[in-house]
Amino acid sequence: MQYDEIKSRLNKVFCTVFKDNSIVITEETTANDIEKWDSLTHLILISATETEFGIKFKLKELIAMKNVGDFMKSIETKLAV
Amino acid sequence: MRNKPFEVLIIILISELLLVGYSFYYKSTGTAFIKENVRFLSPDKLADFSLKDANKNADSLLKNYLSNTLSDDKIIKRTNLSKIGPKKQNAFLVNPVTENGSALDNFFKSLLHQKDSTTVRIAHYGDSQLEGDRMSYIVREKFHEKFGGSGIGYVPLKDLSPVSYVRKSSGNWAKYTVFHDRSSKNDYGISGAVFRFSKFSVHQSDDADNDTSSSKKDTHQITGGKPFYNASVSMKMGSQYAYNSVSILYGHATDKCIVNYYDNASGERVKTDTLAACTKVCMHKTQLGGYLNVKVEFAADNSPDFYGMYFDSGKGVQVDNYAIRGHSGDGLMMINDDELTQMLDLSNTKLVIFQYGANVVPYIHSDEACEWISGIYYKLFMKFKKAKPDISILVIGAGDMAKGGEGSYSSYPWLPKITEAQKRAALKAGCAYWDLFNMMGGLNSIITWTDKKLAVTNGHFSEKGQKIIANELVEALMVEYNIYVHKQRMKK
Repeated sequence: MQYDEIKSRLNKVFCTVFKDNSIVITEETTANDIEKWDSLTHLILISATETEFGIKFKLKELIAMKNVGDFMKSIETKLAV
Repeated sequence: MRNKPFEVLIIILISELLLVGYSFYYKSTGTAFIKENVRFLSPDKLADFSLKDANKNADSLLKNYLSNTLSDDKIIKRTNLSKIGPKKQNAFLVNPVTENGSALDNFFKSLLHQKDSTTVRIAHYGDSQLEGDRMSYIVREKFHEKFGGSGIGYVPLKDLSPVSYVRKSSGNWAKYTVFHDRSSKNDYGISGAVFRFSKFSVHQSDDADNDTSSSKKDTHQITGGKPFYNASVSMKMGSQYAYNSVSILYGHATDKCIVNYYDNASGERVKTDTLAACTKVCMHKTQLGGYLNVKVEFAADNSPDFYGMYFDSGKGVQVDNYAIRGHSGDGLMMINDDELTQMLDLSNTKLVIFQYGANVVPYIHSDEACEWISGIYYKLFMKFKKAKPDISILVIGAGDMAKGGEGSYSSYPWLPKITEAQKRAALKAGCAYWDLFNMMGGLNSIITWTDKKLAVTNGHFSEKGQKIIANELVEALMVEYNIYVHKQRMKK
């Protein structure tokens, strides 16, 4: 799957989870930039992302993610396997 | 037309056999030749009677909870509260032994020694289960009944309408919370919210009770028109909420702010007060006769940060409802540590109750995720412990919740592990833990609670359900209190 397609589908996941269609994610987006994104809603985001892409994340991967860029790289790696 | 009962019976039996046969066929081959929207239970599900067993447990517990009430209407007037002896033990509340006695001892000590001279406060944090003063108002009434105290406690300057009194705010208030409509300055109050007034009308995403929000901070739309030179909050409350003091918790005020109090019944201004400039956090207390229909009006060139008002009687116990819809508690980590200490001190909060978890339950499907939330909650509990080491903390685990599937509802399968994770975090941090999930009857108990109109399957309680939960919570606390008092007497 192309990086742009991952970004587009992930953006839709963000809009759905945080109930806000105006969200536009970038590689630099962090939890500080999005309303309602905290450590616990992060779990909701991960769950929705796993369903959208048919992948699974490990806890250490979640902890290591610093921004949306890390998130997308992780999805890309998993999809390539 | 001739009746043919035997033929009809044969047709029914053949149909049943075909359908059961299809269930086995579908399970072994996965081939659905009957329309996909027609759902069949698998043979395992057909033979699974665990739901009925779980419901029996919930049924039995509910009979107990309801039998202690005088009648459905007077459920909160349960009389046996004062008859709880020191030998009674809690089934669902764990009050662990810590370095200085048990986890709840500091709160009980305050109840014994402070309630006659000052207001001992309980901060009740939660999500939509508590939003609009739900559940907290029953806990409050029970504590007032047993320990004295009056008034409605914490009053936000702007929020959804509460269930326990009527409140109306002028249109120029903005509300920022640790979850919705975040503030760019991260300057939240003890409730996780901060309020400011503007000279113009303010429209925020939650004004229309919807759940949308923008991804940017400090997002409120200031509309033009005639400017406001002040902002106000009006309240109308029942006589059970008579009060004689009003405290305003505020901070970051560069200049003074005038406060006018009006008796709405007569329209007369009954008192004028001034909030002094305040660099960090301040609490201004004023004595005011118990006007049950009152308006509080603020006027300043620049709005201070308001964290809330408190309507109290000056002694006894007060329960403050700090609820944010959709929240799971983690956002409270954003409150400034030093200011949290100040606010807990100024408000004389002695017990903090955290009632979270329902919003994450549907999304947890692994042991790793349970560990993740356990770690997050541990940090939250320790933040409050560090801010004020002498407060007691009670953690209420998530209650039972169900999801639909296979033609029926059943509990989220990870709920027992999620509540175990919450309990682990609580005990590790030296907090007490109340097991709401097992108090309800465990897995699938929500089905019974829903059947009896005490809750809905997503875990939200009806008014009567809230009363049962609040009663059981207060009773569990009173069991521990009586044990504490008994121990103190034995020491003498």
